[in-house]
Amino acid sequence: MSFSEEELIYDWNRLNEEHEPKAPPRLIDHTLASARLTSWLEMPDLEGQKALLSQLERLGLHHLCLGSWSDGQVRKLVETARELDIQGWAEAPPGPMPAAPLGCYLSHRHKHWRDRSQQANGPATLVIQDISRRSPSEIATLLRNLAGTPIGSVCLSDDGGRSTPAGTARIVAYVAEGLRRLGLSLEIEWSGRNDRGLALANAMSAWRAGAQALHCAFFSLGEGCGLVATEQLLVNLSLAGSVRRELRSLCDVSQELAQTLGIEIYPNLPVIGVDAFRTGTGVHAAAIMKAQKKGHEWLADLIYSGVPAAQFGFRQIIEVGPMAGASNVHYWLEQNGHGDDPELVQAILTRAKSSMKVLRDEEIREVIREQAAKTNG
Amino acid sequence: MSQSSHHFDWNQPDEALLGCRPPIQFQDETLRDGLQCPSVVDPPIEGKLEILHLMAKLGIHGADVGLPGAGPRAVADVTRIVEEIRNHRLDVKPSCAGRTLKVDIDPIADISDETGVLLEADLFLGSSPVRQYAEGWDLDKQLRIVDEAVSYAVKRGLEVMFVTEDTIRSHPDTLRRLYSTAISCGAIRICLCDTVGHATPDGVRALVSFAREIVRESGAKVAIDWHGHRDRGLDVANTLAAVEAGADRIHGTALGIGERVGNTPMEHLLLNLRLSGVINNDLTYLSDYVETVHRYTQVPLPENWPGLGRDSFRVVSGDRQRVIQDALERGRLELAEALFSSVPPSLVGRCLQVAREARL
Repeated sequence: MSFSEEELIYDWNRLNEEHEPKAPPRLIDHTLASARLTSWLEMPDLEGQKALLSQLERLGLHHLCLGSWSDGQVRKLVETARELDIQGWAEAPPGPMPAAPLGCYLSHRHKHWRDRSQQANGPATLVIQDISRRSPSEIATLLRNLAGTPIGSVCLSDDGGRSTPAGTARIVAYVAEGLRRLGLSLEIEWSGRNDRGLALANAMSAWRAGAQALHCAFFSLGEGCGLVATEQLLVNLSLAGSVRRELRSLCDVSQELAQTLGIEIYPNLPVIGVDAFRTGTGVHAAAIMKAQKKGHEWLADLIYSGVPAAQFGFRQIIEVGPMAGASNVHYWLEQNGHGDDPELVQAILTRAKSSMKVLRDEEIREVIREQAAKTNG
Repeated sequence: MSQSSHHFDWNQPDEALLGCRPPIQFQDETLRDGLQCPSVVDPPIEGKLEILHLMAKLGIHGADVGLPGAGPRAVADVTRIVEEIRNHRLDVKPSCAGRTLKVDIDPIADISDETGVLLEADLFLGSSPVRQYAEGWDLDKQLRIVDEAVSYAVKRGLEVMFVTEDTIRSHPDTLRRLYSTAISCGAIRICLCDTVGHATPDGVRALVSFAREIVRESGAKVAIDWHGHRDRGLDVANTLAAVEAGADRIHGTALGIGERVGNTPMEHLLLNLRLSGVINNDLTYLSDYVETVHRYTQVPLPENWPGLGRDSFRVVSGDRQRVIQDALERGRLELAEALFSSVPPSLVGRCLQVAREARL
């Protein structure tokens, strides 16, 4: 008997969901801007920064924050962004406003933000900073001041990463209701930080509560603990049925971005780390292999993974290590064109059980050679 | 919503309500699920004992100390760890993982007999249709397995937690029958295990509420555990949702190590629940705990790891540096710590860092 993917997954996540997925949010990627504030990386040169723009564009990210307008390098990226059909954004600190048609972020802390918004040559956003500690009356006052300005969106910035998902939803709902009462048709953006490890859940909560745009940066780059990771946001929105575009290039693009930025993708980074779809455990390997034998790659991809690897350009990997069973060894031998003689399987397994970590391919080949020598000699 | 002494708090009343529920317990999986991480180096026994003592210092209630069914080395390590808990009277309750098979239960019971320490056996079985299909299982067969395994473990003097793997993708009818069977055979805990990291907070809440209903119907005194994974990056939010929904014990590992990209990081659970006022544990050992696991397992500690990464409290932007310096010059350390992060560095035994050179 054969089953479809839908029949084989009872999804508790969707019990209380609306039937139609929500419209996707506009993602405003801050990888470039955040990289400038990431203490543990060195910003690539201008050519490298242009390469980053092009890599991000390949994933369909067309709204990119480039940094602060006071940074000379940001000005030099404007033309590249335009050529790539990217809407560039920049923070506009006190001083000259962007001359180019860039989107600009105006902090509510700068007292002349209303006047400055009139000088913008592109879309303008008011950033309400430290939103999660502002009282309703402070927020209401700021919203009232938006009337009569060309500002098209308001960005709720949880600077200290203080918010919880419930708190985030409450803030967004309050702002949405405030704008509605004022008769202002403005977009709501959410910019959350990861100080408590809740940035992704908060962003999803903001979107469900009515935010139309979410800020994010690849690898959670940014000052301190950084922003919501773009790669995780893309995957979760895709799994929620909202983002429907092709994302098989996520694997390649994330590696290219890391290379351009000169950073290592940590193995245990969700979705894009090398361990994301890798197992050395016997029970898991056995189940993946049984699924493959049923003839369904999608089944093998889902049986021990909450994220379908192939959908994002990755694949399942089975290793042989101290927690391995015979299935891990069978898999390795099959993948590498060896027969699975029971004595050989046992010899590899014995070596794995005495190892402190998963065996490298060369270590397994060594056991094969030793076993062959025993048989022949 | 409530007003704290300094700031408005949009996270209330939810966080305050969490403090009204029965005390939450923590189960540390670092030494079992944690060591299934494919990048991990299995620590020497001295390292495992050092990690164990740090768990005790942090007020972690229980630890899964290994899967003795994996072979002689696992048996030796688990035995030594259980002896350490006994000899030092550590306030950490030991448990061991195993499949719902006699061959995995016997080594756990043997260690319990040898050390004289009552062990909890965490016996797991796949429960989702996707797993049933691939394995060729039917529910009747699974019910027989559960009946035999739980009854046998109880007979051998073990406390049993029955774990359904891939619970978040399992049918409620299947779960109801599996849990009811395990409870009737003497299991004192059931564990909702999101083996593949598929859950979202809404899914967790629905599942925990459902499990509470089954326990209530059984009339038995059975606790509910939540065990989550990091595949989608929702692990911390999911586990906190389980606490809100009434889970009795939550699982985590240091540095989030574990199968694939790992489990819920224990340090982030402790941190969030402390910030919410749900627990009052001394977290100044948190850095030692994470760094010790990092050192022995050789799993990287990312620079931006919340609360504990090298640069998680480093301030680099000029604007922020100026405001912090101003607060520090006025002798207001508490204010300086709270200006740009929700986590006070001193809570986890660390200091605010101002980078030498400002960026922008």
